[in-house]
Amino acid sequence: MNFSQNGFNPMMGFANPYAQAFGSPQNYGSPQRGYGGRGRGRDDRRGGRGRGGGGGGGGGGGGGGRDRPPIPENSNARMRKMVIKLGDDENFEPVEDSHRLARVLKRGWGEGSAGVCEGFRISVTQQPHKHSYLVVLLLSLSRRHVTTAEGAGEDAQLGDKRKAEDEDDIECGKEILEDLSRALRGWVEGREWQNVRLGLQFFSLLVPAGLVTSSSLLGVYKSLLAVLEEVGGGGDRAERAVRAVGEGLIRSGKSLYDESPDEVEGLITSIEGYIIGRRNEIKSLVDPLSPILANAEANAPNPDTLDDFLSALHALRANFFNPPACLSRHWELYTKDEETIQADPFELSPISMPPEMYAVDAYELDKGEGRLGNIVLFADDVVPPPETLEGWVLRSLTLDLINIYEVNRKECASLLISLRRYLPQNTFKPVNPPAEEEDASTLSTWSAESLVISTLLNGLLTLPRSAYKSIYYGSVITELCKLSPNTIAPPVGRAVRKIFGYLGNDGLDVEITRRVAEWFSVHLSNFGFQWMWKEWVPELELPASHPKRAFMRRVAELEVRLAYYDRILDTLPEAMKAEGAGVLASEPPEPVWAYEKPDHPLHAEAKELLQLFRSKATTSDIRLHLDNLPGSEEGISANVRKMVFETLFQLGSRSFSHFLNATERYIDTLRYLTSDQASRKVLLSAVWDYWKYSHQQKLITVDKYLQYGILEGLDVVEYLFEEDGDTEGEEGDGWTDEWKWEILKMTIEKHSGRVQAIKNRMKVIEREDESARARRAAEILEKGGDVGEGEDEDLTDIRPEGSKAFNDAQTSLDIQSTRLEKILISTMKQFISSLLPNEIAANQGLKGVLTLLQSGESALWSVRAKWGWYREFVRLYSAQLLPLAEPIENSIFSTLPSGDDDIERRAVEMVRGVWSSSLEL
Amino acid sequence: MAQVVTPLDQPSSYRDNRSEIDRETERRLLAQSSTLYVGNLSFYTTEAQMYELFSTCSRPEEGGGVKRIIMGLDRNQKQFGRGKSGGQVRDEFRQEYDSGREKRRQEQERLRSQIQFDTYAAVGGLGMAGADVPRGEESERDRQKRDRSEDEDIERRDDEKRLRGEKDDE
Repeated sequence: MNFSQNGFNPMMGFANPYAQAFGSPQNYGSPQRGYGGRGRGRDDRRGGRGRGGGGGGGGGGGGGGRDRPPIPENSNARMRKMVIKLGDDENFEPVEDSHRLARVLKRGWGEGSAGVCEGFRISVTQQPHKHSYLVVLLLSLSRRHVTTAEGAGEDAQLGDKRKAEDEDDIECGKEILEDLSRALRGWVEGREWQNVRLGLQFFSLLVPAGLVTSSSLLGVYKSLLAVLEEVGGGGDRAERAVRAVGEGLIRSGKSLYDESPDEVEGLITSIEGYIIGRRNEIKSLVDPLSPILANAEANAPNPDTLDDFLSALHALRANFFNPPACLSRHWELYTKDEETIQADPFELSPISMPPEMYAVDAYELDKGEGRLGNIVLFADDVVPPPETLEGWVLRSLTLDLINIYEVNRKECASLLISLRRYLPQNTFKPVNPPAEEEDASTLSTWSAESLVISTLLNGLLTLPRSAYKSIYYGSVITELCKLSPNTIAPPVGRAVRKIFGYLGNDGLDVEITRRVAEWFSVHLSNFGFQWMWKEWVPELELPASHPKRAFMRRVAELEVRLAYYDRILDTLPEAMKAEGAGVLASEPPEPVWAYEKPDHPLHAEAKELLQLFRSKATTSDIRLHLDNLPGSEEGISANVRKMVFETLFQLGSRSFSHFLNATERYIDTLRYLTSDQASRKVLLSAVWDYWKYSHQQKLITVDKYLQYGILEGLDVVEYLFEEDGDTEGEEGDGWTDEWKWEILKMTIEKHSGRVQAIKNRMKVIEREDESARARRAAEILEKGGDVGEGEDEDLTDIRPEGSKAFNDAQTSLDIQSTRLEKILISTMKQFISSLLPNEIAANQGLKGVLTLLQSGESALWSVRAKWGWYREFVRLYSAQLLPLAEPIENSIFSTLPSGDDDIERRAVEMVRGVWSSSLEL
Repeated sequence: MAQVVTPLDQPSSYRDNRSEIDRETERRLLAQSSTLYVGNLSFYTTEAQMYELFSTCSRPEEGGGVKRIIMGLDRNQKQFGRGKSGGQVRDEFRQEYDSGREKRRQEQERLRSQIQFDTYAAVGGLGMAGADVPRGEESERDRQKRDRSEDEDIERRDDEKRLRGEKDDE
């Protein structure tokens, strides 16, 4: 079959199917025209003209293509696009329109079959919300007209008739299925778990649709779950297999169960065995709610993602494997008429799992396949809970869309907002409820918007880390709010209030609180800082260190960072503006240069020094000046040092760039004054005093001083804990208010970033060395030499400069790794010694918390916050801590007292428990 | 995952006409660059605000972070923040002002009309000429040709240092 027979020139169509998309991305979601079912030839010509007009501006792209003879790729691209865009039209009719598209695709099959197959691969894995449409399309493609010997009417043209027969002879459906099943095997092999799961979901729909045999699908399920039988349980792949098969069963279970009930029960049993068989310790470390309870009763962790999944599967079984109503089954409406023949169901071939992989960056492969936060943010009748069948399916679909569309938050938001379009009609609460009261009982109460917000926030709040950067989740919410403020803003508000309610005795994890505050402040900054602060006024009664109070302070502080003090003050209700209300800091985040006051003992010296700095005196001048100050004969005193530091901050206080310039200009002065640890401590205390009212500036200053090598990580770690002083009171501190953790985390990451950067550099050098070696080997071969013998020494020394760079990198890697290790161990030590202080007084550390709890008092919120950050530290850096298990055990845990009484023993057990469960992570 | 939607992290279609680098090299250099141009900012956006927001986009655990912020510096005013012909024009609709600057409405009015003049009326059309937006080597050379005070000379060297980026301790 060639083009002329079909009567269109594919080049005239969309030479570049994305040309339109690039021109106006916002229109891409809605097709400009149908998929060309009717009057195609004319449409194509129009398309050709359109492109000609727009081509000039675009340039680059497919320049010169118009002169070339038609090439089939373009037809492929065009047909691929038709498949991808199936269902985008507002007035889409799943059955009729899919059928119509099928006819078009069949007609162009000869030129565009590869495009159709690719379209299916793309749509199946990237548009799971359209699976049901695709099933109808595939079904239609798999049906053939009964060919009768008499043929059509006498006056039908012979060519047309032959064409019709040709079309019917091709087994389009089979070709697509073969391609998809090949693709599925490829995804499994390549460990593209999201594709595997979505592909399997699609195949599972094909069994009830009669396109795939139930026995072969069972075979695929079993071959995936075989991984559970492996020695060691299959590791990471086991979880992927369990999820993929389980979600498949939700779609195909009924059909499979009707034929082979025992097999299906068997599958459920092995999934059950895997999920129940996991250890509780790991779960409790990533449990978002982990209150400290009065008694040492087993603190059973809340169900996690997989537990919810198992409950959903149990619900499936209890309902005789009937699929949930929220899954569309449009193919059931697509009836077969007498003149068509359905192709025989396809036989899937079993799949073999790839071996377990121990790559370090395996985490990247799990994007979108990991666990999801499981904080209940809405009532069960608003968002179906994920442990129900419907709840699981809806959340899973929403999450998949969020993960797939990560590349474009705007498209993601507009898809999520139209989610209800792709689901059966009564899935969600109707937008315009019918006036008739009697119907109300049968109507759904679920809110699509709340489902979306709940899934987005739980994605953001996943422990230990979210699949994507936290800013992504917030950006989608922002886009959603822009698209539909009236429907999205209320669920956002409800979710925040709900989270606020978990603060305190419910034990909401501090890291989750931190992420919420960070997201929420940015969110508010996009919407005029409008928030119902008023309803939190009663909470001002709580002690200042209470998590609820701390949360308010933190949100307000972050808001100020994104705007300015007075602006945020204006958004607060009177009760919170009042002096001592403690929501906003008592002062704006301005610097405090104590030497400005004439009565300060160092007033004159500081002023003079600032003058010198401002007149850009050289480092040596400054040094001379400092050495000649009265009282500096014996060396510069700590007070003067501090004055110099703070005066240098004053020089650079105007902006971030001013600060960097001041630092760079006087970096030698800084180095000169901070040669030992004691003086670096003075530097830190100067930062703390000068930026008393700005935690952000503390962070920035410490960050950059670490970067410039003026401070060392250990200095910061020690200072952060040492500076705590007496924090057992009711006041908030850097741990309840998160900013100390912020600085600690930055410090650790700064050092692990260095290690990582060197490792990356070494990889590059290794690659370069390798290619140099290969080049050299090729040269030798060319000269007729023999690579195999005697030449090896030549080859290893091929790039002395490369090897030198490698050795240098190795040396700095050793240095930086040692530094990082020291910091990690020191942090661990500091956390533990402040949670389990040596001279155990009844009201200190964790013991204090537990003792007070026994008398029914929840207090010592600062200790509790530190406990939370300890858990976060261990959870977040478990991979780096694991190799240090031995020194940590020897230098820290082995020296811990076993405890004199029950409470003390329990405190020690808690601390140790976190550490040992991290080893299992 | 790019087949159904256009990813937003594509390099901008903007092209510096005065750049002599060919397209391919430009693309390669851009792929390696960690410098981000952020346009359409309010006149009163501060560096600290930029730092706060853009820190959330970096990966410090892989050695990332905000190294430098270069905002057009108005040399005559000696303050950071965009001033005269700094490329920031449409501030007419803004209702809120930065703290401490509220008293300086008059100054703002003056600035605004100056900006509008520079943008719409000054010779050469759009007032990008002379804007203190870093534009690579060529504009750097251009700038050297211009007359400037000694003070500015020092500032310029600082600029260069800033463009080079921060030196780490290794």
